[in-house]
Amino acid sequence: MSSPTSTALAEIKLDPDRWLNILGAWLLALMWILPLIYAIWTAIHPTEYSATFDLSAPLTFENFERAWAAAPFARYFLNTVLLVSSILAAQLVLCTLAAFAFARFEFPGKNFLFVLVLMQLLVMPDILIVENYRSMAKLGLIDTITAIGLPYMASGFGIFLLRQTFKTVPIELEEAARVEGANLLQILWKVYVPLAVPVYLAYGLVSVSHHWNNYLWPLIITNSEETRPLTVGLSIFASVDQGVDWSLINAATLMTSAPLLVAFLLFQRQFVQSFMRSGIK
Amino acid sequence: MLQNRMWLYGWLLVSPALILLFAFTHYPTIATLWSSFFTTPKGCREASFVGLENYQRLLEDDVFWQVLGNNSIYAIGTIPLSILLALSMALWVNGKIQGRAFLRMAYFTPTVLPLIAVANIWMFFYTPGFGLIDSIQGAFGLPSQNWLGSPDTVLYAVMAVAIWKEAGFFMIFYLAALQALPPSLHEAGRIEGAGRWYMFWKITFPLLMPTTLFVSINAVINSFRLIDHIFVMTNGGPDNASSLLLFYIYETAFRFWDTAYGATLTAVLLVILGAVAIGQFYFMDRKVHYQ
Amino acid sequence: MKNIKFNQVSKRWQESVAVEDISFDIPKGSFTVLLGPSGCGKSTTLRLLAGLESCSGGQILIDDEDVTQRTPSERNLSLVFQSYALFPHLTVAENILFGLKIRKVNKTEQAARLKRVSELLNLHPYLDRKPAQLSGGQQQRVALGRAIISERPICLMDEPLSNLDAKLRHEMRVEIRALQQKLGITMVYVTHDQVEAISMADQIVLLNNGRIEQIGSPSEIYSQPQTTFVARFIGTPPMNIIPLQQKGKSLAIAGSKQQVHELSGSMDIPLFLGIRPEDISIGKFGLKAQVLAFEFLGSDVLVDCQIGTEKITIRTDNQSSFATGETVFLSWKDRACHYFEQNSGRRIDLMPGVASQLLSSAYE
Ligand SMILES: Nc1ncnc2c1ncn2[C@@H]1O[C@H](COP(=O)(O)OP(=O)(O)OP(=O)(O)O)[C@@H](O)[C@H]1O
Ligand SMILES: [Mg+2]
Repeated sequence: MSSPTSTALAEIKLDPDRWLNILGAWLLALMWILPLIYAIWTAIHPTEYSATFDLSAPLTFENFERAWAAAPFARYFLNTVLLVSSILAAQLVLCTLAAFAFARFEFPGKNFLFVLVLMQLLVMPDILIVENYRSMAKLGLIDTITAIGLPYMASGFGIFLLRQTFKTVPIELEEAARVEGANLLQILWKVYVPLAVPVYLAYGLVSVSHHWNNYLWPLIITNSEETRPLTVGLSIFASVDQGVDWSLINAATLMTSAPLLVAFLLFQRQFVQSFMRSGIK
Repeated sequence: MLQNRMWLYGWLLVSPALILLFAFTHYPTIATLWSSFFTTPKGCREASFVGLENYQRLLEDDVFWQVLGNNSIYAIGTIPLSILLALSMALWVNGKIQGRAFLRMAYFTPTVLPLIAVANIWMFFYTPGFGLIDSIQGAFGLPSQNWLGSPDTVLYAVMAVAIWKEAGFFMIFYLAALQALPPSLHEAGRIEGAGRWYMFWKITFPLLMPTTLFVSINAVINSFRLIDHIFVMTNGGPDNASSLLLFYIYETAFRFWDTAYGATLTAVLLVILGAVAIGQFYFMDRKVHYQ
Repeated sequence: MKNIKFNQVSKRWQESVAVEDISFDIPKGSFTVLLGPSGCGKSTTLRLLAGLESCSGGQILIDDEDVTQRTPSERNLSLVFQSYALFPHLTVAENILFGLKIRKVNKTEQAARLKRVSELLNLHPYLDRKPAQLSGGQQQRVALGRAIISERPICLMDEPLSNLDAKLRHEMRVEIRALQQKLGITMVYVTHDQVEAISMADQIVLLNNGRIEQIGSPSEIYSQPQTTFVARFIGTPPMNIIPLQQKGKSLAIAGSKQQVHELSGSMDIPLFLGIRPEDISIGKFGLKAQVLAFEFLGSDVLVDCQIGTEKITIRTDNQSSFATGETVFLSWKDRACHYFEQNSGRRIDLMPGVASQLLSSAYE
């Protein structure tokens, strides 16, 4: 019998199947990363080079400066940050409270209400644009950041995820706290929440990236610079103002995705693990 | 008495979330069905009850049927392919492949980029004349082609973007499932001398069934939901050849301000999603066997 | 120090009855053990006392005050769980101080008490560690620390030693008992381990199927078991319970003619003879028996014998070995005999008979 390492080596050397796999994996990876590389290429080179790939092309930062100046991106950034953080804050509070009740309380109608919560996994506010627009109009909230965030603040996914997590907390921990005199909110805050921190992190990342990237609903509900988030701002910038100046559009594109992208590259492992965690049902 | 207090607290805790959930998910769902039986209110004219007239119009609306057809092709084309790619990616990244960290990063990157932003990049690839795809085709001596300008190719062009965007996301779910599989299963298989393909089809794939089901449902929902790139790349054109149901709803309700018909179209979408839910329920039974 | 009283307490869940109409007293400062087989309702009884479950009927009194409707924290007691229930995200010190922080005890007081408790339990080297970085025995100590730092008069423990190995269990038994006496706490301790119960308790409450079988001191329970259940539950190997046949005034082991007791009058209820394996000696005279099996335990041997149709286990320090099928003679003292009614399983005290006298001479 040969040792495991030598069999592994033999497999690598002899197995054409394995080579095909490596080749396939890398080809696919290049295809998947290509758009990003291309965007970076055009954005850091002068316009003339946007379609010619010459390694000696001069580097420039000018495209970013021009794009930044050509549209109120600072304002868009501010709006997006406000939007994303207010949605996340509301989601964390609302989902925590509801998930706690669904995980550890018995009350009439609990199962029915939980089914209502799960319904949102299927029928997301994303597709209910017509009626939600009408509601926002009635509430006088058209063209406000609140209106963009409101439909997403009670997240069925968040409630579900946290409920699953809370259910895995041993009931003795809660009872120990109760014997020590902790009240409901103290139990939630000192026992359940700290134990769910990894899940909160995962959910936070998923939520932020989702709402940073959201487009259709903000497009519908906003119509002024003061409320538009980055995605809507970018689409207006790309379609109306610029014609076909690819360098400029790509610079703006990169700029809008930069915070998420940089965060992703820095915390890659956590990102992937977070998404993984949130996917395990 | 203690029990009643539990009830009260339970309700108090769920009520903020449920009120919002009701206001922006359940109420609009019901309101959509309701509005689909009325006319669109115009100026001082109130909406009036018209029964099934909107649905009548739907049946006679060629654009609706075209859009529905498009969406079917879009779903049938993107779902299996992106799931297949996701599974391959996950298997590759989960194994001992060279450059694993880079591969994982590359596959996952599209997930964190805004669809609306990447659409701009893809636009360029498809640009006739000097776009990337045309350049490659040119190098092989093939004629230039206007991918987004021709009704024959435009739908496939936007489908490619959707697959690209989604596969890496679905990979994550497979990766999580693969890592949860007990290694002893594979070791047992190896001891029995099972080949790699045999192991995959007889052991790994059946055990991944629940994940596949979960991913499929997400993929179906997404095929009706992810339409941001249409706005940038084609605007539904040419001749509605790349218009999807949700995009058509948007156009009807917010470009032509025909909200009643928009609600009717949304009702169709809700029915489709309801069917998905029932399908999921039906499949759940089988799923249990694998857990 | 507080006394506790259970007054006809019951606990029912929709489908099952966990505790049925139990009444008993726990004196101030005593160490009371709730003992019984798995599923008999020990934990339920403890949790009713802690206020973690609500009673379906009856009252619980602490110092003559009815606390049945009070919340756990209003009952002013501490609780140690079988799983320890340490908060995994907090350090040892934070775990111990959890309750004091909730109750906003001032910082200097907290520090002083923490110092005292950690020295008492030898925990000071670990105060900054997380529970996951401790051994089982150390985790157990932390759980004890969390219970005693609150200086509450009543402490409840639910099988606190069941996750430890035998040696550690022995050490902790001594330690907990010493701690209880030193601090003068009223202790209610749940276990299914009779050795733990006998070695620690002032008073044992033996439960079976949600009902009390017997209440008493360890020696009472051992020497005066009130039912066959108690008789067999306490002692290893369990007491021999042998059906007796009545022939006129004499009682004989079923299937044999050998008399074990002579009645003063006639009796029409069928009886069991209970006799502990360690109370039987093997010698040259007594009841004739056949050896069925033989097991060497180190200091002792176990011998299974047959008399008539019945099997009897004997534990003896007699080091000679026995062959299967060998004939031996068994004898015991009259006061080692326990008698139970066959139908109810209840103890019945017969007038001291002539058994010992009979057994002192070999006859058939
Ligand atoms: N929450 C509950 N709902 C329904 N039945 C319960 C519940 N808790 C306990 N029981 C039932 O009550 C009975 C007594 O349970 P209890 O936990 O008190 O037993 P125990 O004596 O502590 O056993 P063990 O030694 O195994 O811990 C059991 O039959 C159990 O099934
Ligand atoms: Mg128990």
